[in-house]
Formats: sequence, structure tokens, C-alpha cells
Amino acid sequence: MNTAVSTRDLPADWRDLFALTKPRVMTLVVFTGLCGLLAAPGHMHPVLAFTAVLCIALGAGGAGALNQWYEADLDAKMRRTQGRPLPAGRLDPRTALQFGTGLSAASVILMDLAANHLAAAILAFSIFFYVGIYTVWLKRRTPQNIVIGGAAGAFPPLIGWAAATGDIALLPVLLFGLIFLWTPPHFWALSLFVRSDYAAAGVPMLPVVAGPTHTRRQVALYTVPMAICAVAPWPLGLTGALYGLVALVLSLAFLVLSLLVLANKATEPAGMKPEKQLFGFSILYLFALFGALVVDRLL
Amino acid sequence: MTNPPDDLVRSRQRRATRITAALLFAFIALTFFITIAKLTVNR
Repeated sequence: MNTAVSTRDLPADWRDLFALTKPRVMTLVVFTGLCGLLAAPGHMHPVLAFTAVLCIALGAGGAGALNQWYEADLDAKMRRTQGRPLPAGRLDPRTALQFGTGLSAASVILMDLAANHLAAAILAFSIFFYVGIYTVWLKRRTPQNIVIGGAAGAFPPLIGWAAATGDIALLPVLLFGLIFLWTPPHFWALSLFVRSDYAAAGVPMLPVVAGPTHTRRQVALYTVPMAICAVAPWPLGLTGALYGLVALVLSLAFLVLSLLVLANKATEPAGMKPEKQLFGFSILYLFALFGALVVDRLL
Repeated sequence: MTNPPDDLVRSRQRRATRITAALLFAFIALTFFITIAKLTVNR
């Protein structure tokens, strides 16, 4: 007799619903959105600013839930993701779909109510871009999935800026470009040392399709325009020297790490220390850059 | 597969009800504060 309890018949546990929102990814999204809002000129009422950031978090969470709902079959094949609520069988897929749709819709409506139409429209488009363009269309079809899909994660500073000002200026566009160009080296560094996971799941990530050497070259190539985009606000007079110097030093460090990745010839994860270092540093890089931007604005 | 025990289902339902109530209350409070903030900004 099979006595195992069917957890899918149980009402959803809040911890599983919370895990659907990809809280770790959301941290970076919320931080860059908050920085976009704080870097914008003018004053925004604290309640409205809090609501705008909350909406960015809800929208990112909703998009993350829809992504996990659609990719449950892929997640089940990868060691890194097979413990997630859907592949582990702790959550009913319908609940995940309803939760993701509800969060996404609520975030856009609330953003429109608290901020303005432009911020709500960009938020809605970023959710559509992440779920529709990246998750459904590109991820399983092309090794360039992360390049185009990376735009979805680049929207938060634009949304924060639009929420505060009601329009778009050059600085948030450069911040968009920075995250857009940062995403490929960041994800390709990760996918180099978890390549077997992606290969097992049949996801055409660049290291799986084109091999480690070509991927390492692409990592180094993307780092150059990313660094230019990071430093550009300083000579253009959009920020002060504090941000400019932080961006210059950290971008040089990023470039050095990407050259170490380029020089590495290892094909097994055990020998991929430079890739792991670059992946870890890339997260710190973005946090530090946006933090410096806000401090520079406040000084 | 057997059905989950009743007490486990009820405990999950109770928790879900409490969380839903708290979220609804937070939403109402937030809408109230947004309205007040909008009135202040537009004055």
C-alpha cells in the first residue's frame, strides 16, 4: 500500500508561494529599481515611493512565478532547480499560475494608481518581456536567449525613474544599457560551470551549443561595452566624481576577471575558479555601482 | 498516494485564511495611504 501523502492536494504553503517569486533575484531587481527612483531628480512622496518599489517587487515576483510555472519540466531536469516547489511536487501548477498572474496584474494596477501610466506601462511590458519573450519564446530556442532576455532585468531603474518623474532621461537609459550588457557575462560565467545541468535539460545556453572557448570570448567582449556604459554617466556630466571613480575601478576589476576567464582553458567545473569569481563579483559589481550612484546623488 | 490527514489540511487552511486576511488589510491600508498621499501631492 502506498502511504505517501499527496502534497498537491493540500492548500499551498506560504513558503512555497514565496519561493515561486525567486526572492534572491528579486533583491537585485528591487535594489536597482529603488536606486533608479532615488537617483531621479525631484521629490516623491514617501508613501508613493514605497508603493512604487513594492510594485516593482510584486511584478518581479509575479514574473518569477509565471517563469517557474512554465519551466517546471526544465527545472525538474536540473540539479540546481529540482528542489523548487513545482518540480518537487509541493505545489499545484494551477496555484502557481493563478498566483503569478494575480501578483503581476496587482503590481501594474497598483503602480498606475500610486505613480503614473508610464511607470505602469513599462512594468507591464517588462513582465510580458520576461515571461512571453524570454521564458516562452527565446529560452528553449536560441543560445542568444540571455542576451535579449536580459533586457527584462534591465527595466527596474527605468521603472523607478519613470515612477518618480513621469518621463525617461539619458541616465536611466544608460542604467538600462548597463544591466542589459552586464547580464550576458554574468549568466554565461554561471552557465560555464553548470553547463552539464543545462545540457541535461536541453536548454541551448551558449556554453552547451558553442563550447567554453567561444563563450569565454563572448564574456570578455560584452564586458567592454558594459564598462563603457557604466562609466559614461560621469564624463557626460550626469553624475559626480564619486560614482565615476567607483564605476571606473570596479569596471576595470570586472575586465581583469573577464580576461582571467578568457585565459582559462578548463572544461570541468572543478577548474573553473575564474568563472566562479567573475559570477560572484558581477553581483557585487551591480550592487556597488547602483549604491554609489545613489550616494553620489545624495551628496 | 493517500489523501493528506484532515488536521494537516485544516492547519494549512487556517494559516492561508490568516495570511489572506492580513494581506487584504494591508492592501486596504495601503490604498488609504496612497489616496491621502495623492491628495497631499495634488493640493
